[in-house]
Amino acid sequence: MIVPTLTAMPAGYVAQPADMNALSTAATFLLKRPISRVHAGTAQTITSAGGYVAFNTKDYDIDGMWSSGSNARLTVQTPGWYKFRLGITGGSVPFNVAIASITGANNPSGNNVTSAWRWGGWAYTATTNAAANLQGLWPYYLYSGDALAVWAQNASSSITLVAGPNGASTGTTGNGGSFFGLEWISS
Amino acid sequence: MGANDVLPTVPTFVLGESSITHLQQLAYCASFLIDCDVRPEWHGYSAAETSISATTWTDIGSGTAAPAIAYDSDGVLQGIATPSLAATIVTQGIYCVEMSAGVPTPSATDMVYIGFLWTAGTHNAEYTNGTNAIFGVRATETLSTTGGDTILCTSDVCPVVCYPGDVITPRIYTSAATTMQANVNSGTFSGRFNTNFTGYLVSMGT
Repeated sequence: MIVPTLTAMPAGYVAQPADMNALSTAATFLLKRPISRVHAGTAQTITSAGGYVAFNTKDYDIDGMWSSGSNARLTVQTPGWYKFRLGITGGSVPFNVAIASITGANNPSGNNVTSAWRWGGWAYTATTNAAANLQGLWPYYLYSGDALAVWAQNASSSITLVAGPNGASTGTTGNGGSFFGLEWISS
Repeated sequence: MGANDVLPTVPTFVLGESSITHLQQLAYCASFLIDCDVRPEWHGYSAAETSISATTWTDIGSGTAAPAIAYDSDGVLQGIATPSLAATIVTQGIYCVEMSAGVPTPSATDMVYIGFLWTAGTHNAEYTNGTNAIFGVRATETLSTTGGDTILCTSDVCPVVCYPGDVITPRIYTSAATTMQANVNSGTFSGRFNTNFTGYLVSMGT
């Protein structure tokens, strides 16, 4: 999407259709802002070395941030400040999750620069599925082509991330599964 | 008040425009986006204890008292006959929901899960009535501390566009029977925390 541009209209100025339609365009942009949500529909294993979590199923993706061929990240199409939401469901072992950004070609920092981990989550279990969940505003302005990716790790054990969702579960396996989403907040 | 399923219509302006209707449509777009009395958003919390059976997903707030409501612009928290903290969607859209919930720690190594259950209503244009999905799950094992509640927070956007009549229910699952406390604000580590359930319309979708 294109971030709307609004012009000032000083006193005495006769508003033109373009001025008013720019306001309408801004309203449309905000009412249908870039937002995505994807989830992991199949199980996957993260080794003790850690790894990015793949999300192979799209729930909705208004701005084309998700790609089936590169599904371990969401790639920003519309520049701005973003809020992320994610939850990772694993089984039988405790684990940490974190989130990082990877720059694209439009970022002044250069292409393919991975940020430090920002935000972290933790879920503890020794017996069955546990789920870490975190959300917040990403601390860096994101340019078109920048991506966010979710990392999971248990340094002494592999993690089996379970598939989901499984409807109104009567147990704990699967539950809502692992999910990841981005929402455009402001320019 | 509230949007009451009146979705904004974004106007198109032409040269020589004289329609007050179009200006009002634009004004409603702005109200829908920024006015808490129009934009669907709510904050409810549990005012009663909720008994939780072991190994059973339980709707939160289904005790004897009605949910306490901090604000509820679209009247979503009042659509369930049995007192509950569930939200019955009034205005179509994509919704973000958030919850904090906790239980007195029954013992070490119990599992506590919280999450949301979406259930399609009769007006859902994409899913048949009664279709459901659990989402936004947060879960962990309680630790061997004593005297402290186990509190979890979670947030997610509902994985489908919600239609009027769809229901989003905050739920909890524990491996041992327990009782969720109402907020008695009696101590730092126990009895101070109550269930909060908030939500708001994020996008109209496409």
